[in-house]
Amino acid sequence: MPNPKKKMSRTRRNKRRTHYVLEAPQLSTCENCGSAKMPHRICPGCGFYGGRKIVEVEEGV
Amino acid sequence: MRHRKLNTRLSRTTKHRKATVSNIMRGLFTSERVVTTVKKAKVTSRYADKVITLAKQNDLSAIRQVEAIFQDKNLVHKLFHEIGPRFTDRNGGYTRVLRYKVRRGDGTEMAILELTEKEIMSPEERAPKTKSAKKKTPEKTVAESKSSAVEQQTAVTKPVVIDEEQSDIDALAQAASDEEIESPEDTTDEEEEKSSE
Repeated sequence: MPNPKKKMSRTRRNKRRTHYVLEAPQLSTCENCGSAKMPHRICPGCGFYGGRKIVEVEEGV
Repeated sequence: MRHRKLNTRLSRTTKHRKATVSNIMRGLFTSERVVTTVKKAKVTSRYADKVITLAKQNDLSAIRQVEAIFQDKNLVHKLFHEIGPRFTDRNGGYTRVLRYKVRRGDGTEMAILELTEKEIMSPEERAPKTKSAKKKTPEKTVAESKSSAVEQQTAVTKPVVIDEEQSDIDALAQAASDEEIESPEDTTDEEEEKSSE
């Protein structure tokens, strides 16, 4: 079976991994309560979307 | 040619997919609002719109076409006598898909699938009836909608009614969320039965 000829140095390995970055999700603010929420989704904090109440949000869940 | 018109297979065979969609539709037409995955909601929405179009035609042919989808005469009756007439002023866009939350367990994005003309409508929704669902102005804040509701109220009574108005909204929302808790279980249970077969 073909195998790597040389061991990859720590430097090479770490250099490759500099590009492994997690991106933060794009957030928007809720028009009703002002908290951060994912765009185009019902606000998890207050249950509003598009200027009207869609769902009742239960407290302390 | 109808090549590549199929939106998605939903990881199901044709029969299974048909059953899934009609089960979700059944839940939608009985309780006006269901919670499913975004994908299922969007697929079902297309079919539900077609069913409502048939319900608006209201002739024998249409009734038979709908009966082929639902084996429930009471539901067909409701479709032709309650839901169909509700949409006479609306040309298309009978259902709405709202992204809701992420399901615990598998991280699937869930959505609320609902009828755009509901039996119980919140006062805010009832007031701007001329507006179609698509033309919703994003600038419209809650304060504005509240004030318009208050204006309507003041025409009849004094502005002390705001609290009642608010509690009305809460009650409606509560009722809606109650429905929601029941309906998604219905659909998921049935789906599980189907898949275990």
